[in-house]
Amino acid sequence: MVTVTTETESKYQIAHLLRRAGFGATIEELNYYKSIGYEKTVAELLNPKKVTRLPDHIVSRYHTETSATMGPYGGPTEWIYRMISTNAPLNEKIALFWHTIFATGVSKLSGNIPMVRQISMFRNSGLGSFRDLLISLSKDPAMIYWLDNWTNHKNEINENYGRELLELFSMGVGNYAEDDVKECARAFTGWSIVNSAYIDAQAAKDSFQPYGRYAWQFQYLPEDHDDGEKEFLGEKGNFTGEDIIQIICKQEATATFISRHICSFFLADEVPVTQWPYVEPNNPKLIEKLKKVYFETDYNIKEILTALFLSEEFKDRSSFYKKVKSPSELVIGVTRLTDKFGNGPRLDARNVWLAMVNMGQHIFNPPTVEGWHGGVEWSDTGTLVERINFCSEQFGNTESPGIKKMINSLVDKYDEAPLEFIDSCMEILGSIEIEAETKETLISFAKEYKAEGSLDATNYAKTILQLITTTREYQLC
Amino acid sequence: MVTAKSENFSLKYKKTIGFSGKRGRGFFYPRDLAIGSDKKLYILNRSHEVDSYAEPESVRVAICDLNDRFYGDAGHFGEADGQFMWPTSVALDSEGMIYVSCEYKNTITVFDPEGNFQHKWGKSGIGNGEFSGPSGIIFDKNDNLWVVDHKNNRIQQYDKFGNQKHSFGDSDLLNLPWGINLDTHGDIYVADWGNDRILKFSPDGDLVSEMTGNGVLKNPSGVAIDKNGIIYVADSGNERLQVLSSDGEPIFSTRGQATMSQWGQEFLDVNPDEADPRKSANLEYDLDIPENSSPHTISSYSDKLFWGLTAVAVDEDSRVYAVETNRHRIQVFEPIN
Repeated sequence: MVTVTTETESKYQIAHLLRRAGFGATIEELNYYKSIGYEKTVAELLNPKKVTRLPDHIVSRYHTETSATMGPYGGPTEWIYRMISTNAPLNEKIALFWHTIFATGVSKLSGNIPMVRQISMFRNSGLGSFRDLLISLSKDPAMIYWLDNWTNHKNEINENYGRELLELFSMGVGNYAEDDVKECARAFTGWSIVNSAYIDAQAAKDSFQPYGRYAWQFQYLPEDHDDGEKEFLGEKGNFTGEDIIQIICKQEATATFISRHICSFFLADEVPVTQWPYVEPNNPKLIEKLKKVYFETDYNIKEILTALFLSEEFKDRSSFYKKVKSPSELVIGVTRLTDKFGNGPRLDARNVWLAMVNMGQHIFNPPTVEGWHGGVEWSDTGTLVERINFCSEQFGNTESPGIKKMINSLVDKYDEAPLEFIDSCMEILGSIEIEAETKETLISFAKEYKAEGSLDATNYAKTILQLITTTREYQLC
Repeated sequence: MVTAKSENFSLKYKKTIGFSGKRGRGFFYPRDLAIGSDKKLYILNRSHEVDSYAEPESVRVAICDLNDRFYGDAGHFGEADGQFMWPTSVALDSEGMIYVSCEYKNTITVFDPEGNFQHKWGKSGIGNGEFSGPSGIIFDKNDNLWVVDHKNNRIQQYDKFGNQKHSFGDSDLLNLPWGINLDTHGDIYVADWGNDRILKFSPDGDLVSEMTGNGVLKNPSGVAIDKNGIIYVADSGNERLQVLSSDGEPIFSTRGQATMSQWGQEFLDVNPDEADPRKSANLEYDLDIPENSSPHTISSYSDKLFWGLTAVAVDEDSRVYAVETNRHRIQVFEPIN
């Protein structure tokens, strides 16, 4: 069956894609992507030709902490500047995706440099082979310290990393035995970090003296590696960590686990991962399709995402607005639209970080190794108020370059009927849609403003933008 | 014009001053340094935005000397008079009054030598007496303050009371300039950060020469000139102290040689739980660091290399002081020629 897509529907599909694979889009971005069509948009997002963003040396000139990263703020700020200024948003989105799964937190690391490097690894390797990514993860100094693998010794194993590698990072509970955990841990003995004792001493006291903190490095200690025979998931051999990952990646359970994670993050919210053994996925047929791609492409994440984004399930209207925006998606999306940082770094960048924290997502510091549960759990009475206040405040700031531009184009439409004016606003906010009942309410407000004549064209446009972005629908993507 | 002797020029590492500390002895993200006629060192500490709000005193001018004696401090973070938010540079007039530029508030704030607030001037804008991000500042022999108005891409001259006297430069010439200094003739040297060069101007603002160190400079943030005309550049993009002859030829460079400062050692002496594992740690840069790493990244692994080099100053004895933001310290060198 050939699906005929109208131009309007194609526009909404592209807007939907940009909300999921990015952080939404400005009207200029949407117009460009509409001109090249949906399929080419998918290709460009997955294979950006030339990545541009605000350079690190510009950011660190003003924000001293973004390279030394001693406290909880510097690393997230470095990332926030990337997310708000990049022309390749999927590179950042995929880093966010892996950060939510391979959740590592600065609370234990005491110092953000290793976290910045871990996120960079997700950015650089997150669209490649899942096998290579797991190997990089297993050698990542932040992860090694976070899950104690530096204390996993030949003669005294620490199962922490081995257990989470199987349970939360690749296969999911119920797909391996307790003995597999132990054998997995044995294979990763000797995978450590340089200067582990000093790192631990500084972390224990959150010390930054005498000369601040240092970057961390992976170190393989052959004398501390158990090179004896192991039996893992039914196979026997003198397995190394790399061998273990090779075996993990071959498992049907791993393909299911990763495909479901991808669907949960990019397609529609699923229940928290701990519930997966007991609750069927939303789209079992699509997951089967993605698993096939996983095995056919040597576990390639980019190929799986391509298949997802081109699938009818993804493009269908039934998938639109089925996810609650995470705080980072909401805050970064709004900040990109308002272009608040269009003139360069600002001292109040900390407020962007604080907004996310107050909405329940302190990037670089997930609550547990399970990461954030997400979905409807993002929204409670407290965080919803934070979300609405943030949107209202940001869209009410007419000094932001993006708002200025939006209002400049909207004031010419002041004489339009409320329905048309609201449609123009939703178009300029990224071809978004709201439910009919919500729109009726907005129209009635707009009519009142017009009848009262209390708002000039600028304030009328600003107020309507604020009303739209504080609706329930704007919290979804 | 005096041409500096550059044959066999070298710098000898002398010592390291400071350690990380938000109050009392110590520096916290230091950005600039001024040297008083009494040989005291005035180190401007920028801190960072979260600690600034939580611990306003972490943003300040800390006063010490080459012999590690700590004297006190001036100013702290805040929006009120006598406070600054994104301080960038510090300078001293002939009476020892302390001047601090703030690129967020667009002000110059003045303290007496004891650190008491006196007055301030400046506001946001592009007109006379206005700033868009004042960064490097320096006094000339006539007590005129030269200010790098960096986002306006111009250099402004003021008297010590804040009356504008002169202005030159535009975005065709300068690209987000940062540090500024003067030689003994009163010629002006500007670290033209975004254009990877040092520009030398006459006191009237006429361009005299451009120095790129034969193309090696990358985002220079600070500059100082000794009495022989030797030019010292905080070559921040290369994390390197680059020395140029008076005609701009590169004659020496160093990536840093820090050792433990007196304050740092005293901290370690009373914290053996950190000192002992530190002794056995490898904090040098000969580790297996990823290929193609930037100098900034390489420095993040190292104890002795400059990391976040932002400013350089020279005292009357030609000692060279290099300010490292990310390691919270000053490395001191002496010329051997």
